[in-house]
Amino acid sequence: METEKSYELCRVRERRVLSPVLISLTVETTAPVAAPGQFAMLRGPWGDAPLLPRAISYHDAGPGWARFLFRTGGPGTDRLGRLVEGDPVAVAGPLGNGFPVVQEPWLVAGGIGLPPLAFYRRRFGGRLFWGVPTREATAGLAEEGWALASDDGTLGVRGTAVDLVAAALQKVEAPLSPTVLSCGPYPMMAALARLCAAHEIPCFVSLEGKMACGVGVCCGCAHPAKAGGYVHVCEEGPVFSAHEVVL
Amino acid sequence: MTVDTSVTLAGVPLKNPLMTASGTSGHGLELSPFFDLSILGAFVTKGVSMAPRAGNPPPRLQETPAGLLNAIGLENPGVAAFVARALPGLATLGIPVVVNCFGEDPEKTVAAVEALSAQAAVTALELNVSCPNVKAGGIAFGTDPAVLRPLVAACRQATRLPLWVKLSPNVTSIVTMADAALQGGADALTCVNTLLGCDIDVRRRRFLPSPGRGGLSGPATLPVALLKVAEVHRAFPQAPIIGVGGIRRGEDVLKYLLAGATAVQIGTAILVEPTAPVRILNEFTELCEGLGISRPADVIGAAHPGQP
Ligand SMILES: Cc1cc2nc3c(=O)[nH]c(=O)nc-3n(C[C@H](O)[C@H](O)[C@H](O)COP(=O)(O)OP(=O)(O)OC[C@H]3O[C@@H](n4cnc5c(N)ncnc54)[C@H](O)[C@@H]3O)c2cc1C
Ligand SMILES: Cc1cc2nc3c(=O)[nH]c(=O)nc-3n(C[C@H](O)[C@H](O)[C@H](O)COP(=O)(O)O)c2cc1C
Ligand code: FES
Repeated sequence: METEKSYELCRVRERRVLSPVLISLTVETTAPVAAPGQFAMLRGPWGDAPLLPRAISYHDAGPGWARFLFRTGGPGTDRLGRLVEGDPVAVAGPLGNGFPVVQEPWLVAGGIGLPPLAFYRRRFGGRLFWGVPTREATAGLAEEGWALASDDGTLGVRGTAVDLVAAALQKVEAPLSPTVLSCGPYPMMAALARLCAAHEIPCFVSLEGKMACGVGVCCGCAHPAKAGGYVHVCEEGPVFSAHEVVL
Repeated sequence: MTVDTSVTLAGVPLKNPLMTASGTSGHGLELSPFFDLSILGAFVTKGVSMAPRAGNPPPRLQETPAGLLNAIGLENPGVAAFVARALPGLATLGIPVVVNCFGEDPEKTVAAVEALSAQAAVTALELNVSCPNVKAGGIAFGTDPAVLRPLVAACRQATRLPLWVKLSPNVTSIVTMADAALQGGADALTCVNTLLGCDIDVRRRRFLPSPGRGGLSGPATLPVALLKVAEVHRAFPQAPIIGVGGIRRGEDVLKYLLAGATAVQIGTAILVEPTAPVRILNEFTELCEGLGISRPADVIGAAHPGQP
């Protein structure tokens, strides 16, 4: 599923403010079209601070363009969120392995873990489960047919995306054939991995390690592997089988 | 005016003074999807040791104002795997290949130097002496002249390749360390490695990165590293110096040359922008043109009083 990486100065084609903290940026790019689960390193022309580019998953992509969805709140994402139409933005991508293409994907997103899984569903289909803190956090992104949960019960089922998956598993007739693909907070993915292990269904997780280069040259993105030692999130991931990595 | 960017560094001809800095460009051809590595004056690998090392637990990185703290922990696949997997690719580039190496004690350091010297594809060795010496309570080799001099001398005995010693800035007098390295037989001095520093996560009340401290690199460090180059050049005007620290523009390269460096290395700028060396080389050449410097090699050390 790997595509050729590139680095280029792109232009912002469209910026949409979905909520006070959620921004969608579409950029013009000549890079190969990304696969769901791949990410890019993004940086605008803001001098030496913040220094490093930021890792953001592709939310959608087609020939000549790519879309990103991110939550602002830190120095890097705040500046990315202020870019407007026509602004230059440096994009290294597509990077990483992406999610495997499977027969019966169950796409399980927690909060801002949504973008790669929404992209996957658009490209390959699948059942999507999304857990958010509260209704406002969806910012109008939820689509027809998604299973939704919120921590405070203001939207869908009260609980988490893992609760949605547990309930769905109760209703599935054996033998179970789904493969779970997930992205979200680590405690959520850890709970999901335990649930999948108990039902003997495969589970893949997308990790969010701190990164410097994103392109496999600095060894900065090490994450503990279950077998000992480390995996490198940007190069070998960001998607791993849940039993390969410590969650 | 055409600019002749070539320099000769301790007998090694370079078509231009730009190299990658160890640890920021991978072990092999990891950057080649982004630019043609053969445009570089030389390629410097990430540090390798005899035995593989897993490195430190995360978080290994912490961003600081215009800087980066790293505590990678010298992760590497070991000399044998490096030679088998990465070196053949580097050999195809047609530019000098400099292998950065180290050991956890003097014997292991010499063993790495010996093993790498047997490889025809290796042009020069760069010794990282900022690595903790496990036989001396974890104090870096490069902070004690009485340890550094015999270490360099032992490595000198073990190789016929040009031997560069990469000095640590975390010392009272870099000139003392430069002296020890030169007396030990170093052919060139790389100035400097990262500056020790730390950050603190105020919510968790924890030092960052994970070992409680890390090496600071990036634009914030340029003035410090530039002064170290100047000090070493002033003390040892004949010693070839490779300047490194905070370079992100062509002008920075010229500053290092004027301070006394023959060549430079680009590290963190590559992490920020994987094609940085291409841009920096263009900027450097244009700047030299604009300033009427037809041979940058002629202005090495020219900022020092008494220089033309
Ligand atoms: C593969 C991958 C895909 C991602 N996809 C998305 C996405 O689609 N949408 C989105 O909103 N966010 C995504 N993130 C998280 C995003 O990279 C961080 O939110 C962002 O780096 C925070 O930077 P900041 O300066 O705004 O905030 P700060 O929190 O102040 O960042 C400070 C430092 O920590 C690092 N950092 C902080 N949080 C994270 C994190 N969660 N993951 C990795 N590094 C972090 C930053 O890069 C920076 O070096 C992804 C992360 C990874 C690794
Ligand atoms: C992530 C990272 C890894 C590094 N690894 C090594 C290494 O293995 N050996 C070494 O001698 N220096 C290493 N360095 C130091 C760099 O080679 C360089 O001396 C330093 O980063 C300063 O240059 P810069 O400001 O251009 O990055 C590393 C630096 C960084 C940022
Ligand atoms: S972030 Fe540099 S190797 Fe992964």
